[in-house]
Amino acid sequence: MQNETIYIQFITGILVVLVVLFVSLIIYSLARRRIRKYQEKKFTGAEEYMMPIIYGFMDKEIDTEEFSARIRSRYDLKMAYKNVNVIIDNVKGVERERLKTLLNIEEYHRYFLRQLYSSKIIEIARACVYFEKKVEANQKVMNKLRRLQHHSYPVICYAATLALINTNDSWVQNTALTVFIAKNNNSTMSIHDIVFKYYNNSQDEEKTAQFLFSIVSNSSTPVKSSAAIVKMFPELGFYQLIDPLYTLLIKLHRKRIGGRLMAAIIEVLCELYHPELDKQIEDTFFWASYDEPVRFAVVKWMNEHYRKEFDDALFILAVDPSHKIRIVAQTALLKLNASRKVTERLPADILGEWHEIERSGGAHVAAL
Amino acid sequence: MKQKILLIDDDTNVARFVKFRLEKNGYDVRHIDNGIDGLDEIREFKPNMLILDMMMAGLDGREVAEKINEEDLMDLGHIIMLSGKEDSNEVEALFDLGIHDYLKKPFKIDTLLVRIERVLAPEPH
Amino acid sequence: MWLLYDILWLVNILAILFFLFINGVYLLLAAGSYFHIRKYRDIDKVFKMSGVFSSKLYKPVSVIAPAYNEEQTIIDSVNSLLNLKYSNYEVVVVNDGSKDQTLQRLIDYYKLKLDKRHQPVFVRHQPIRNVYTSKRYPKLLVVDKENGGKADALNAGINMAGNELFCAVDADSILESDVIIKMLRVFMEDESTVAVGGVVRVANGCKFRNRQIQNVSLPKTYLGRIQAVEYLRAFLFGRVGWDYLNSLLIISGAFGMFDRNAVIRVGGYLKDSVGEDMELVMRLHHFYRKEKQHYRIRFISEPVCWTEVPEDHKTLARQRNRWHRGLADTLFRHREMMFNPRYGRLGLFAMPFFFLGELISPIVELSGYLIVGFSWWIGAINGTFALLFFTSAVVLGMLLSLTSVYLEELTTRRYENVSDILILSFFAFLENLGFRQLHAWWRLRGLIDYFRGSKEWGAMKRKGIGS
Repeated sequence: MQNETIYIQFITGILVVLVVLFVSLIIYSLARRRIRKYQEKKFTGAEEYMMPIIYGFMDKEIDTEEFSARIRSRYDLKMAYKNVNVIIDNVKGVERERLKTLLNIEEYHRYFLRQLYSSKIIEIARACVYFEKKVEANQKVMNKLRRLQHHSYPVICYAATLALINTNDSWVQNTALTVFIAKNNNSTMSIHDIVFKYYNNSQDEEKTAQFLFSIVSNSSTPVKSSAAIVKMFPELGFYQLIDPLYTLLIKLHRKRIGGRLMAAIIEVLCELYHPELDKQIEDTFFWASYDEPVRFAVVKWMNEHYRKEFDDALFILAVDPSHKIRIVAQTALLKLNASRKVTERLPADILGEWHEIERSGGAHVAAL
Repeated sequence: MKQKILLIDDDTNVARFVKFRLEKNGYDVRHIDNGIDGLDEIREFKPNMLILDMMMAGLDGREVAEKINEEDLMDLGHIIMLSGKEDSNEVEALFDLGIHDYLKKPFKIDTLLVRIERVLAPEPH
Repeated sequence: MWLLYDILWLVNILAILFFLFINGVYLLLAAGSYFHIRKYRDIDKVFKMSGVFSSKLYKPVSVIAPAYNEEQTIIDSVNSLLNLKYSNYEVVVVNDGSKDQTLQRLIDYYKLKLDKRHQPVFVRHQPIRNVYTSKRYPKLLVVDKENGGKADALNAGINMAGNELFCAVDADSILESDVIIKMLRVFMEDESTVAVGGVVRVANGCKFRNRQIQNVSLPKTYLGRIQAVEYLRAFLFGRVGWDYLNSLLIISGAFGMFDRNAVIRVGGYLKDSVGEDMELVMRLHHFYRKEKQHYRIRFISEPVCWTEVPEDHKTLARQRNRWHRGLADTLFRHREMMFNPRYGRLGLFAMPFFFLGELISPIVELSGYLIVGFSWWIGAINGTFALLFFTSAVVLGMLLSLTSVYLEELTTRRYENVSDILILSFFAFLENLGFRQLHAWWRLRGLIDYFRGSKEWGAMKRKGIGS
């Protein structure tokens, strides 16, 4: 019975694994808690010791050299880094700038430089965060960060870009932004984050506006990214871009490209207002052949800046295949103040929607 | 006697730093990291001044302020709110309630000190 | 006679191979999830979302909480939903025609006023009676509708929610306060994400204070502890493993975040499904793969919500019965994807594996015990062989559960006491003796109920066509 032996070997094997697993689990949990307790004690000690030193540094009683000299162990170093980081994020002005100089000490720089070249994603990411905060100027580091902008993991690209944008050199900032925006797989939220930081760091608002506009109007920029940037313009207060945006819109319309970007421009100009576009939108041929986003932006415009001249267009949009376009168009038609006339002109299957709009008076019509 | 300040903020790292700074300026400061314990502490510690974080897990700053108002635990004019966001509706509601001031995070410690002094300084002897 | 013996032997061998395969895959999934978690742990924190409280940079979120007869807990639940750490969100409470005072409690506590806002119909549901808002709580929106079940209530919530992303939550589970930020990071990383799930953990035995978890500890009862192990194995390492293979099929109904437009595109929650949470995820997969559009459905290995699990036999049996019917229903509805190379890993591996390892495993398991017992009794197989079956089904199950407890200790580490770990490992053994067989029985009943129910439903449908 050779099978028999194999069976028994298999069963014993599994049982042995089970027992080993159980025993090692118990030993591991005991050991881990021991070690953690020990480390916690060390860290608490380090914190109690380091906090007065950090505060002393902020009050200019201690300089960076003395700070380095007072560090006793890696616990002190880590604890100080953690706390300095948190305080930097929560204070403003002179104190913040002074704390940043603390990050420049040799110990941190050496440590994170090594991490930057690590193969572990989390270590690279942490290093990027460090180089962002301390405002790096070292060429070698910057070159590495530039390479990391093309990393396969999106968080790393994002973190490296942030670090580059947070330098004092506008050329470095601009190229970093261009490289990031040119990538295809960025999310709107990460683009917003990066552009917002770029804006906050820039000295010259006019130049920033022009540079961002040049990215948006560059046809090699992914349409999605351009649209995301354009949508930030009102919040950033770039009123000087109203006319250039209109010109860009017309250019896109002629070439019939970039529907999503067109939609974004129309939405932004709706907020900032542009009289010529207002006129142009009356013309159904201007927008009727575009996809949903453009038509939606148009209908929102008509609702926002309603004029009688829009009525014909609104009746077309009120039976649009897209539900959200229909309801915004119908909301705009409320302003016509002649409910019976609307009821007559709408097809029967749309009437349910129209009565609902009438009932609510168009309050909180889907904002999407 | 030292003026007593209570700090309710669930971000311990920041609170510790603020506490240190205030203590250095001669205040008696305590820190509590959540709203529920914070309310107890107001009853016991009877602070002259309350610095209250708006966005906390559990009972948030606004609810703490409302509770203080309901139970009349302290003068609402001696509350400074800290907030990470600028939501004009919320802030307005708080001013309606009667809180003294509001600071947006991150802030300069000196700004906080000036505002505290404005409330506490005119102490009649 | 010898033919019978041969057949029995063959059946036994097949059953053993079945269990070796299923347990082997689960072990591999667990191992894969270990490396997955290790590699990406804390990485998301790099997306600091520092502007999160100050600007319109990040997408607004709607939290949709359906409520049915929850007058006891509704105020506490809604209060905790109103205190999540994120500035740009709203809470949509959908009262699904409760027969108790749920709505009145809400109206009184939040001083709700009627709101005549527009009620669009992107997905279908029972009529809405009224919509309420509160001046003092601008984030809150209460929708009162005719009863139609959880899926129906969620659909009403989806229509009324005004934001690009929504979270579907159980009103009675406790969310981590930074849950929205955690989930949003996934959408920030890859915008084609349409759904994200997170770890659901057992709340029984834990201490809660100030609407927050304070102390993580084990439940006190046998069934509670069994489920603590089970949740680790199935909902933590199982799903992380599936996420690693990019074929996550389930996002728990207790908490999930979705792209609202994507859900509207596929038609919302399915009203007549018992497992509406799994069905929606499957439909999203089905739709996007069919349309050949890039999309992601993700699972994050951090705890997002704590849920009270049933600790009595009857309720638990009913819950598991319902889950199994939901699974059967979902797999049946999307059977087109099964073994269809067009659906990639999903159709060729994940779905067939769910079919084998989850859906029909109670049949194999229970009949396996019977056949092995019988074969041994008539002498078709000897004791060693019966032991082999026992090992591959039960002892390997123990190994898997124990591995999960180990992984918890290696990665998440939420239990503070060694005694909790000891108890958990003890229950990892115990789970496979008794409870597991009982669980298989409940699931088998669920399967039977599904087929019965399915017939009735079919009959009704025929009548509809005829008339």
